[in-house]
Amino acid sequence: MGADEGPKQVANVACLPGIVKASLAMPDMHWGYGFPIGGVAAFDLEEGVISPGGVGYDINCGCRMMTTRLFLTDIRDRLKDLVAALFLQVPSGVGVGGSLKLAAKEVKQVLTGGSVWAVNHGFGEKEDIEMTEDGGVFPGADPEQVSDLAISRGKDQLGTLGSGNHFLEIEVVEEIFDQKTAAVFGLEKGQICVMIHSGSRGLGYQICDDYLAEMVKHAGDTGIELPDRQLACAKINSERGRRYFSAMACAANYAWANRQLLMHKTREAFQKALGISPRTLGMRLLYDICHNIAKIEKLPVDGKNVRLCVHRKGATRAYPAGHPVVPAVYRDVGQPVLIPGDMGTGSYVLVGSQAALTETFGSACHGAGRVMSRTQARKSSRGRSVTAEMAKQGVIVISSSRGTLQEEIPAAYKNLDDVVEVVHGAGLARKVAKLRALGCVKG
Amino acid sequence: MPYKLFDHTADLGVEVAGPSLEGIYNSAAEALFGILSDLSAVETKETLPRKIEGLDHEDLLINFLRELLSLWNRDHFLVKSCEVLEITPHNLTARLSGEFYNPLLHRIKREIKAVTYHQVSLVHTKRGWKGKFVLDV
Repeated sequence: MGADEGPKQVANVACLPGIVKASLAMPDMHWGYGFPIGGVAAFDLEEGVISPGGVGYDINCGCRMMTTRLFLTDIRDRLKDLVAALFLQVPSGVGVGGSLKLAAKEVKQVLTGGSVWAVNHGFGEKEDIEMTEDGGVFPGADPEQVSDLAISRGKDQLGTLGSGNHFLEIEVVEEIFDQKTAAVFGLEKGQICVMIHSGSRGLGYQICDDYLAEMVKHAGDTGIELPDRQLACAKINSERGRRYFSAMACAANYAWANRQLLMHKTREAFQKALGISPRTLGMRLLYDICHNIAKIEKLPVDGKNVRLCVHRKGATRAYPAGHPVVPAVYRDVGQPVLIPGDMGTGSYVLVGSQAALTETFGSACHGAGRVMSRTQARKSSRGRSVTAEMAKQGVIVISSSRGTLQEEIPAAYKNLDDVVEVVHGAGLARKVAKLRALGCVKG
Repeated sequence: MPYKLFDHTADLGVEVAGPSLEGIYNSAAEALFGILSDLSAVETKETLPRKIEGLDHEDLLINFLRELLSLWNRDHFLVKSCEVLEITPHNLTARLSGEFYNPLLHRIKREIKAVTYHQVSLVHTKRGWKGKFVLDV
């Protein structure tokens, strides 16, 4: 593979007007479009810019983790049935639509309502809202700033996993590093949890594409010299900047509603496959985080709290104990930080820290970035049965695409343990628990 | 094959080359739809005219590819071939031939999230034209 130019991209971002302090890169950083994946940059609200490339095509791609009352011993003999039930119940894969077909008017309601829309329509519990970053609703969303094509793409994709590196994974808590925080989060060794990784689907990609094209077209008007066209941006305090922000908010809400529906289907699949009641299952949302977003946040800069527009592209918010936006039940310990691995490698739960707030605009990594291109991964897995290999490692994988499985082999990604150790060692977020994968549904 | 894939960490890089600029556009169209579906099953049953604008050659190529992807996402139309009628660095007039998606006949291989500006290039060399672009998959 040719040299990954991620570091050059970090340097390019540093040239953007109104950037505060520094352009940052998380330990899982790699090449992206304009901004690197794993990039964090914060901008002054008057002089600074907002850039679709600093958010990513998959606006509010993120993940959520759910805990259950089940333990490994409860499901070990039924794991195959459970993964199969999830594969059938949760739409995944290329071109696969969801069971919900929405009219344009209803899509617009999702774009302003987010998780609240989903819960109000029977797809979840009130408690799920509190355990979602920002309560699952991004303020300032304006569906009138979203193109008809984007709305059209959102009509039949709500409640679908997508393809590529999106997944739904059954995991078991393998190791607890911080007993006190784990207890607050409701995690214990041997407990069954589920991780969902998905985003705003075609609607989000289209919004990013629409605004990137518009900003490229008008780049000359801004007077901003761009080292890379993909860094096309607009002043936050401009008409175009405000329109993108409110369209991005719409996509963020769509993604939250999407993950809320995916969780609802997961609850139903577990209950049906295992023949248990919701009470026995006890599937509770631990937390939902976004890792592709731009937000207006109050952050400490040289001892003062300043409102900034922080871009996190492949990076996760990691707020400390005592912060008012952390759910009340977690406020004594800090915000859960969910770091998914790739297919079949499990994940980590960490907790946010004061160091992250002061050093990285309240940010940590989002996962383990790729080290191998898709073509290399396919070449490397030619003639091998990825499903059989994963099964030998104790992970049942079901996917609608053999090609996707080949591209998503564990060797294609950085070692998640190493990435998390760096984050933990740097004090950005503290390890709480490590989870091992048992079963995975991939698109 | 009129196109080659090149390595990119997370997505798909495409290279096209040929003696004429018009041929490059046909190859780029074939690349995008060849990655998305199995083009051997697609026939040229309909022809759609298109006019595209761009700031320069590279922007024009990206806007052309974005329009192709929109044809798929909005109308579920699969493009088999592209005939360029007129081209300048800022404007393209073309005819796109193909057919509407039929799930009984056509296999969709992969989702293409977007056409990116990342590493885009379109240059004239002694041997003709060379183009490069990256698709977010």
